Amino acid sequence: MAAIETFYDVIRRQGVTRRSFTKFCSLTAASLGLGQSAAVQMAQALETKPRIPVIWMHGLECTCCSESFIRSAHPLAKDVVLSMISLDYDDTIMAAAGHQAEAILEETKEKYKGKYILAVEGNPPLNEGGMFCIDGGKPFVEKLKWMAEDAMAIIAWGACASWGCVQAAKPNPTQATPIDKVIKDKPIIKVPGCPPIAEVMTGVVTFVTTFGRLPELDRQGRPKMFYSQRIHDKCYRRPHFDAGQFVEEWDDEAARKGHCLYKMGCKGPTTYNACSTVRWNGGVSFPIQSGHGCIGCSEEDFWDKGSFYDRLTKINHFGIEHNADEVGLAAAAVVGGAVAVHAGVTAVKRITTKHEG
Amino acid sequence: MSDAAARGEKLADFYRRVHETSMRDSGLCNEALAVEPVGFRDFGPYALGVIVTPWFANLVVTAPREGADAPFPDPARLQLRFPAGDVEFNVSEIEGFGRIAACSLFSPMDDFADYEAARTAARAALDALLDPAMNETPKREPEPTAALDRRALFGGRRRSDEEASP
Repeated sequence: MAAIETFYDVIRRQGVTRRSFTKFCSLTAASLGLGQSAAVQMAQALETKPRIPVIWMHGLECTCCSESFIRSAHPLAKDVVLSMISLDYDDTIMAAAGHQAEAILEETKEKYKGKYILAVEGNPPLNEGGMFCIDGGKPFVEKLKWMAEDAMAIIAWGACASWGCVQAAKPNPTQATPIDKVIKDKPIIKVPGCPPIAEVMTGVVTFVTTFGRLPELDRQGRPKMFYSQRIHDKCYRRPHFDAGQFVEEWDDEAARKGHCLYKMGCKGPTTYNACSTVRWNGGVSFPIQSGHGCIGCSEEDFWDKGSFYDRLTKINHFGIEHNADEVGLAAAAVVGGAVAVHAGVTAVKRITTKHEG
Repeated sequence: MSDAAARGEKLADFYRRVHETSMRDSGLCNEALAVEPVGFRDFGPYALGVIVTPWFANLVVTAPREGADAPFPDPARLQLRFPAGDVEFNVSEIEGFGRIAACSLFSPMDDFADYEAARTAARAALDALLDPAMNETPKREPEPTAALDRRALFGGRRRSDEEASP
């Protein structure tokens, strides 16, 4: 096998200019909430470090995560997918098939023991010994456990791998089970969403491959950099909520004026994701901007929480300061004194971005 | 009453009307609370304060006095620098008041037991926002090291926690 190339070697060979490369580093660092010094470190790492092998496995899923990932709007997205990582195995997009493909898994497991990233799209069904998802002649759950043994870390793509998604919706006949309930001894990054935003996916991959460690995760295992903001707090229609201007029925005057979709069942107040800031399709729009409420697709069990059009009745999350990390604290009412002060200070921590000087 | 406090009162009047009209029977309000401006003061070219209502509490920036133009344009978003860090605001036009920039602190308000708790939280938020010490604790990712370090990867969470503590 040839010497392992760096990401930079590969994109230079593909004719990408150094200028585009540094721009990519700056933009990616910014999207990760990091400063210019991190962009320089990122550039240095991508120029000098061998690419990290990535094994991308598919369990019970619909491939929308892959579809999202390969549509990242950044001009270098295809290079991110195909060059930054050494995507040695992805049964949806690789050329190899059959025994040849399975051999790649064995080779990677042996040669890069403890050094590869296992990216998992979808989840394993456990009922009937895993018979509801057979991959390469074996139950997917076995293959997943086997590849996880020697992985450096695992990325759980999408709502399926993170929470179970539609195949785990009640009554869940196949016992579709999220990755972290099956793999207990490896660091797992959950990147929920149905699908996750392309830029969030490439951002997570970029972070792990360039810095060689996991990004900071919240208590539910999601990268804080993308999942600490609530849709409701960053929504451009929020001023209409504040002013009591609601869409009452589809296509009414308020709908045409772009008023708040809360009464139409928008799940923005209980959903933590980057849609209202990063948006979709290269920042063009996101569901609320297109006139439909948020369905909360990045939240656990969103299929079992009633209709997408049912109005939220009880919003258990306590405002913006109760990000995923602190939802558990929300049970008690804020009665004043130190608890109220803490709530105020925590809210400010949430809304501020550190600046230099 | 200072000019800034008067701006806060006038803005609160707008939300009081909203409370009495479109928010009535919406099921969204914590009726233990009322609409009130908290801590409006001059901040550079702006008036800065918190509007507490039964359905949200927002950090708000407006023109400093009645009749003055808001010293910010009308893009959807506005970023302002405070001692505690940079904050992103939603800019909107309030009928009969003018342009405001608002950033959500809390919404909805069900978890506040009473008005005093909401007011205390709002004051604490303003104090924290104007406290430079808040900018010193790294909230974001600590600057990563260039070396590929398996130990750091496995202990990623723990290590960044340690780095984040002062």
